[in-house]
Amino acid sequence: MKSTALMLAGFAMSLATSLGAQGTPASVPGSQSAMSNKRFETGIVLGGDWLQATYLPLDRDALQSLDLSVSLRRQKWSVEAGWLRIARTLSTVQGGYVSGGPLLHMGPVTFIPAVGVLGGQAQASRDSTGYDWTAGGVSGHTARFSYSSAATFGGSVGLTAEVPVYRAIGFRAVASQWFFSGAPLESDRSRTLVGAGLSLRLGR
Amino acid sequence: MQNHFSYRGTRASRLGVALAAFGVLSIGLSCTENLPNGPNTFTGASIKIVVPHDTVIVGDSSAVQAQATDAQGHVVQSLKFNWTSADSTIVGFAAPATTDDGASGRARILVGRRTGRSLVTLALSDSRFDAPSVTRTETAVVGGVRVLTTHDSTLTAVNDTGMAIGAGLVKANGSFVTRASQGIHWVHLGSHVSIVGAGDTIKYIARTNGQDTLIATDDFCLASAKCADTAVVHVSQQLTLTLSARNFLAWSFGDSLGPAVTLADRRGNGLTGTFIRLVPRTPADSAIVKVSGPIGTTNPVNGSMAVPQLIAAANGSARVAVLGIAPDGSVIAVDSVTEVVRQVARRVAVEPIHALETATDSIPVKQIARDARGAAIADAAITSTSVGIPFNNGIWAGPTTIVLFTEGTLTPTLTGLALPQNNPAAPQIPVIVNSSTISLLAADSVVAGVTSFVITTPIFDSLASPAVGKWVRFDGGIGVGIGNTPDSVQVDASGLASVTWTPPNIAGLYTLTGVRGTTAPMSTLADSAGRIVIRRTVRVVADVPSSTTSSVAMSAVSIPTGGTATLTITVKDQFGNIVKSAKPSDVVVSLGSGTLSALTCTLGVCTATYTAPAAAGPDSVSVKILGVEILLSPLVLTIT
Repeated sequence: MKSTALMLAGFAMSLATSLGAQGTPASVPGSQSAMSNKRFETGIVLGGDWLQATYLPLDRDALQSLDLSVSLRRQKWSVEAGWLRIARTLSTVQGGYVSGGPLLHMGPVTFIPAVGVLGGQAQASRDSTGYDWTAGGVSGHTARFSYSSAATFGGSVGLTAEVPVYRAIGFRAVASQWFFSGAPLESDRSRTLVGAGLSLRLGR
Repeated sequence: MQNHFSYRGTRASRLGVALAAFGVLSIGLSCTENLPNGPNTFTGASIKIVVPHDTVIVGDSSAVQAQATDAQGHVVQSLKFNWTSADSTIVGFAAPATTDDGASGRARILVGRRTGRSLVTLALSDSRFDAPSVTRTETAVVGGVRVLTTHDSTLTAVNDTGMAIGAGLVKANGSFVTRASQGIHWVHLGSHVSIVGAGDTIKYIARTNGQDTLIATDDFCLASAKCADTAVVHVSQQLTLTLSARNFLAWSFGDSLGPAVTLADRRGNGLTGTFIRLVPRTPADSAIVKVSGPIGTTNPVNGSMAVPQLIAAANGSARVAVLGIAPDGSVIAVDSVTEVVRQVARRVAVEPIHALETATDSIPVKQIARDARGAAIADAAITSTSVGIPFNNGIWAGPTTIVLFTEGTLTPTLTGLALPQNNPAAPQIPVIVNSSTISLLAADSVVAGVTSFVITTPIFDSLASPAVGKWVRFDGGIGVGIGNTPDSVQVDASGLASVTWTPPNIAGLYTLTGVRGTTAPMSTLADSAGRIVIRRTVRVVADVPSSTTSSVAMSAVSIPTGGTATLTITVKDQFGNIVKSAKPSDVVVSLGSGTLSALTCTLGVCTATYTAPAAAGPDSVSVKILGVEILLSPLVLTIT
């Protein structure tokens, strides 16, 4: 939990830095909201998402699932690169990813269906050698974990819904399904991510 | 606006983005993942063998379970165990069941295969646990011990053998059955048999009479079972008598006969302490044969026995029981023998073989046949012929009348049963005939005062051999009876007995009898027959007249004048013997005034008639021998 707090603090600091740099635009009247939407269609957009929604609680003292991304947007499409971390109680997959997809607009909401790939590291602890026990009619299990780490590559399909919230800041919801390679994830290769985050448009 | 944003935003945003990205990445990458790992091993775990009991009967099975518990005491599931038995020939495992428990070793079946102990080890072949292996000693036992062979056997001969087989009770198809080779061993109590072999099958060999106990037992036997079974072995030798012969013929009294006897069992083994006794069946049998002490030595190894001998003592047939006597005095074997005693003569004789006698005497002789051992044959038929000496009534030799020394002979003739030819089985040895020679002396006399003389004669024993060293005994003794003789004389090396006999100086007839010395007393005539070897008779006659012992007497000492009286002179020698041969010339008679007729001497008494003178007055008669007045001489007479 401590590391999670540190992560969120760092994320907030970077977001504040971004907001400070766009203080002037933040003072643009509300009539400019429509323009703001357009602004999310092009340019560089930084993003960050908390992706732990589908796996709570995380029964491990570690940084929760999140991503940080930089996307390049043009009118019709978006290419995004970033760092993704998927934390589970007994595994972590993290690495750099690249995804891309079209930009679909529905009102103020921009939908970005995307496919992506990830290269990084997979770590997993597997209770493959624990044992079951009984005692006085009560049965139980004592785990014995085997830790492994290896490079992993993954692919995903996902959908991001992004809506401008304030000036260059947008809120977005993310859902994606990842599949990873690598020995540590044997028989446990899929990860479903649902989360939410903020987007910060840096320029057009 | 766009420029402002672009100008300021370009630099600021890039820096912010970089910082944010770096920060997040740094935080993210630097975070400890805290992914669980391990533990390498579960410490504190233990395993144990769960078995209802550690004993399993051979052929039976026992379910065992493996149980592992962790440090908290939880029973760990789904483990695999390895079971091993240190000696699977004692305690092994049945094939695992096809169930999970069976396949994983959590449940196995112990099978008792043969008696003994085996260490059963349970190991957990799982690297996750550091539980050490555990062992448990499992014991395979028999459900009892049983003797398969006889429980009570008797061996009747030394070295007889028997077999004892013990078996253990084991399970087969749920039931007890006997089975060999289950570690049975025998305990031997006693020393009358020896044991050969070990294990459940042994051979016992009879050694000595008695009873031994064999106990079959097993060191590995069910506690509540009958774990010992007993066999009693008796060794009781059945001894039988084996006689070399059952019929015996004795031809002489004193013959010692008897069978060679073996008292042994059928394997030819004797028994220490046994002995043989011969017992005549009846008193009549006892009269025919006597039983000596045992002759020879007893060898218990082969059963040859020292056997008493039957000593022939009388003619006849005797049945004698042969008894084999056990050390405790009981009769263990009986047989019998028959002995026929028939004396066969080896010699026939008239005894004494030689004797010296005065012809006027006679001695009792004995016609006798003797067997080879010299025993008299009582029923021998003997007749004798005599030459030169009368043979009276078949027993008396003499008397006769001779003038000069001569010899008479008595020659026996044997007939009847005692002849060898009448006993074909007997040694056909010609019978020796020993005639009796009697030396006859004419009647003899000695003069008182010089009576001593020597008698010398050869002496033979009953077998006609010079009786050298034998004794001849004499009756009478010094100073009494027949005069001075030794009590006995010994026959010298020449076979001669020589005795000096000094009859008394008293006139008379004296006879000296010398008898071959034996231990038998001479109470009857038959006792004397054949034993008198000297019978010498002498007459002692008076010496010359002696004045000291001769006497004179007058029928009257007062005689009227012209009257007569008888003068009597008794003539005696110096020993007082009347000199029967006295003559008138032996005395000189002188008178004072009377007259005397001629002397007449008869048997030592001389008489004459004295006629007194016519004048009264004293007169005297003097009688002298060799000039010396004899006793009472001179007589003083008074003539009235």
